[in-house]
Amino acid sequence: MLNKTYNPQDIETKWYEASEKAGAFACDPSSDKTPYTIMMPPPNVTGSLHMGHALTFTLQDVLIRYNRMTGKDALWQPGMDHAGIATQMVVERQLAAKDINRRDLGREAFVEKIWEWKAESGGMIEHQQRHLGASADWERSRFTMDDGLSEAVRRVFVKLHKDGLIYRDKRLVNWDPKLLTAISDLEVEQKEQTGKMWQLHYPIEGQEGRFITVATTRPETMLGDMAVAVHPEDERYADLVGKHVVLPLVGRLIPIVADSYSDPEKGTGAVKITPAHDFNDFEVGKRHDLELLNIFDQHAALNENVPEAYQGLDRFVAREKILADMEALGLLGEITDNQMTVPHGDRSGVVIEPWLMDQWYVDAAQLAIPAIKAVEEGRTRFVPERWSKTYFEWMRNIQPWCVSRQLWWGHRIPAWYGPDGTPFIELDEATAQEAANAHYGKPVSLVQDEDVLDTWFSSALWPFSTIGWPEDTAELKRYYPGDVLVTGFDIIFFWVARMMMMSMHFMDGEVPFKDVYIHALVRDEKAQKK
Amino acid sequence: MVDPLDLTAQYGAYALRFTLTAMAAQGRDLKLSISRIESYRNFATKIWNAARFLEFNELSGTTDAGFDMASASLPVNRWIISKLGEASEQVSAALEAYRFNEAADAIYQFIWNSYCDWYLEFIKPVLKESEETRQTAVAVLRAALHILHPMMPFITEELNEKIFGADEMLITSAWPAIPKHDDDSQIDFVIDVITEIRTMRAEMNVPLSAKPELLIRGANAAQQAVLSDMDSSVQKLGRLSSVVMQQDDMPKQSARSSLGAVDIALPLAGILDFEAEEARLRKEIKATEAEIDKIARKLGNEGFIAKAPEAVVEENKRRLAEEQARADGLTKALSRLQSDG
Repeated sequence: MLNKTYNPQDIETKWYEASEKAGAFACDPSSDKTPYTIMMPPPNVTGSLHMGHALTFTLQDVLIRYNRMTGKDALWQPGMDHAGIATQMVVERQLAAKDINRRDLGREAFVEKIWEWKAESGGMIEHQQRHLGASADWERSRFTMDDGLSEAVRRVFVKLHKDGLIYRDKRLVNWDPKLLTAISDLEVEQKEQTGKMWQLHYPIEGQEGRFITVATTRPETMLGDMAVAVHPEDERYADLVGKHVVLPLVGRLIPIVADSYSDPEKGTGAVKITPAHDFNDFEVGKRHDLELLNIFDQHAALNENVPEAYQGLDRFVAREKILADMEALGLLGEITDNQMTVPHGDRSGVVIEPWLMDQWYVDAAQLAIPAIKAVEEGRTRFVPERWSKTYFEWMRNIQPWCVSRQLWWGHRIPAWYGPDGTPFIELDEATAQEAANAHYGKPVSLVQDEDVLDTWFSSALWPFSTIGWPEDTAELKRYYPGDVLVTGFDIIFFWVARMMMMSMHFMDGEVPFKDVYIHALVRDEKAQKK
Repeated sequence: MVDPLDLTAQYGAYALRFTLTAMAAQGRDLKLSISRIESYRNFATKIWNAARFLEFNELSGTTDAGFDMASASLPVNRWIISKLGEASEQVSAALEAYRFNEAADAIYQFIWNSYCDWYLEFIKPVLKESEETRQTAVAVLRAALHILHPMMPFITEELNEKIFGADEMLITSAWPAIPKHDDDSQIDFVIDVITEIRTMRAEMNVPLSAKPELLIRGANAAQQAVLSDMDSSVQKLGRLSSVVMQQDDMPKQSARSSLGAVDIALPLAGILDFEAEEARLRKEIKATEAEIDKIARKLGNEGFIAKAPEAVVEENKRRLAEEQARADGLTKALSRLQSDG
């Protein structure tokens, strides 16, 4: 007899366990049924189930169960993401509570601690997914840092490098001076703030009593100024182009250059150019062949490239001192309130510093070409269709993808440097050593790159790495490409676009999934995003 | 921020799953509310009670594997099988187009309305003697559990085993193949008639205990046949004393309505005090119109619109629509009361 009322608690657990035990969640590579594949977006190993997860996993489970019942061999491929910075921070915080710094532990011991943490507390979310009824093929669960996936990552890196699609470049990165790592544009939060605009008077060389006045929101960077720019058609300054100013407090001579980057309508029409600390100035500097003078250390304190009086000062302390010193010299002009957007790190909350670094870049523009075409031709279809517009806009304006991160938790970059800094990019150290020995004509000692790869680098390979690539497995043949990717719009750029690019390149131009279903967000009654 | 695990602990995973599926309309954010989750908990209760009804009538475990839905001949059985087929197709089409909310809605409407509210009521009088009906009642609910399974995996497994004694789990079962029945049963006409009677009774304040006659004029042969076939169901569900085909004009003092070419009337002389009822309706219409006037003036005031929070403006708009619907209902009831001949 049925009970008078339905008591879900016992019944749900009972049936979940029974169906899993019966092997009902597993795909069957040997079956002659049509395969149906959904690659589960791997949740962070640090994560716990929130309402957005509940939505996305429910919808995927509905599709998987429906397709299983309609006679398909369904694979719902689960797994977890190592979540580089998020995981490293969890363990760092735990250590900090015990007054231990990761640098005291050393890299190897610290990474060991993270693995220990993962074994004990990581992956709680899989439990919660089960609770929701998710009928994924758990036996096939993958982790972005397991052996097979790490091997896939190395192969992709080496191959892209050999194809000229990964390169090393000194460029300005969004440097997080608290977490001591570069972060991607997507991880930068632009915050509206009321700041100040200070006018600074720079004396013209050889013309006693004549000044050119620049306006800046960041006076502390003046110590790294390499030029003053005016608009080529700005008559006020026409006679000064080609002359020099004496940079106050430093005494260096820097040129006045004509560049249409400066706007005659804005401020005084003259702007200071600090190529090593501002993204726009970097471009101006390239046009005028200006030197890149880096004045900050990794903590955003002034380094040895500035006069001694300022060395070691934090950027905001330095700002006050420079303003005071300029005022004492009578070189500080008008000060006005200024509405501006200031870049902040989305995890650290501190102001991001544009900083020059050697970083590894993926030539995303090149990889985007076939990925754009695939969607144009309808080989991958966005549902609802309007999201393809978002995808196209991003892909058609895509910037080089900075993939190196100054972290310890993640896939260490397979680059080894010789004594003169020549990099050898190989699958493993032994091969790099061979290449280096051949290059130098004698045995040399190599040092591996300290950086790890952006977490999204390994998740970009998810559609093929989880089912066996680079091995030519039966699963890879059978379950690639996936039928549908179900995800929220917030990771179209981070993830969907990158899976498209990597899959097209490594899977012979075949798309990773036929449909991308983008679902909405869950809000509660007061319209809060979950 | 609501923790999904708190919700599954309190309501069960099925309620959260079904709520999220039912709300996943394309391009619209989901506004999760507890009342919505509770309403889907009631859905599970409804299914559970339907299963208990079958069990109570000794239908559990009676599933005859040899029963073929295509062989059903009674109109009410052909009708429910055709509704099931429609629901199954709607769910498939919706899921294949990622229209999750439409899939949830189709199976919800089928189980709640077609099966529980109508079919089970229709078959009560014949359940004991009609073997075909017994088999259909079982086969249809079982197929519906299959269709519901992807959205509510566990309650469906439980009932599939407990009620139907199935030894294969739904998760590995095949999606049901439903035979196509052209629905010529006219059952939808019967449902329309009963629904209309219920509306008239509610609008006109007819006491629940009163059992008026139902007069029908202009029904075609098929409609007359189905009404006669299902006479006892119609009487019971409409709380009527009898159903009479009428050729002449409808009597005075009756509530009247029409469904297409068919006129229906409930003679209410002796049941309602028409004068008192008319006075009551006029008074209520007046009060409702005054309220409408008040809200409309508020919403017409630019100062109010500019200053009031959006939620307050929305609330007033909602109330205005509500009062207007009420006034329409009352006016209609009044016109029914006055109409004669």
